[in-house]
Amino acid sequence: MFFNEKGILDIDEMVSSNPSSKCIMEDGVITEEEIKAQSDRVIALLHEIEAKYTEEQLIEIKKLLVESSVLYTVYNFHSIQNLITL
Amino acid sequence: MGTFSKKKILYGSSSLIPTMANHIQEQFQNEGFEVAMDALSSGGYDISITKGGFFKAVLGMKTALKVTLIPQGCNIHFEAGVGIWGQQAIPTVISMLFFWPVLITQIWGMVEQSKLDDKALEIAQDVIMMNHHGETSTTTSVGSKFCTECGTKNTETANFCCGCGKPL
Repeated sequence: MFFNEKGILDIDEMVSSNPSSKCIMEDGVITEEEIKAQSDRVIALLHEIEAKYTEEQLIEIKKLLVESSVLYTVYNFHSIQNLITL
Repeated sequence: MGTFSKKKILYGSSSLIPTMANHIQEQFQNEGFEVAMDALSSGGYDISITKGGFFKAVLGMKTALKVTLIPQGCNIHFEAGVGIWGQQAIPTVISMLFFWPVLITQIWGMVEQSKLDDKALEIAQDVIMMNHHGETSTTTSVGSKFCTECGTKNTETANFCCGCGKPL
């Protein structure tokens, strides 16, 4: 579900085939309105999930979201750190 | 060794960088890789190495082994990592995907397993070695030797250094 036959995360395939992504990327220009709309979709999904799943399941989802966000944050900090030392 | 890149200082003149870049390009091309080179304003080179079926494409862009050779003082800074084909590895803020760090870590694992980073490093080191041997043979052919204490050039027949007086 998450990985391809080589064991590599297939997230980019999921992103490119996602209807929201297709719609935003269609004209090759990303507007502030499109970012706002995508952000609203994420918030709506979180509310939906919160109402639908058990507390145990929600803890798992939250763990994944937080760990992924930590990775994204530290990776970007690391990149900026490298730029400063160059 | 880095977690998702390999960095090394090569003790050789930065004037060797273009030769190193050419050798890396040539040898990887001979093994069926697609190679692109960009000369940087710093005097360095940015080399992209990729092969279909080996490097995963991300959102329609080819990923590649990125080798950068940058002058650092009298030496050369070698760095090998994973990046996007044709895009300069520096600046390195490439984060078009939330899971980009996961992808590059996984692709880097494959690069390390295939020892492609080691291969690029070996080619660069070979250029330094070849150049060193070239210098030695030139020195011998003109009949002179260098003092191991102070580096002064002396005639081949000299028993003592004309610079510091130490036995040669």
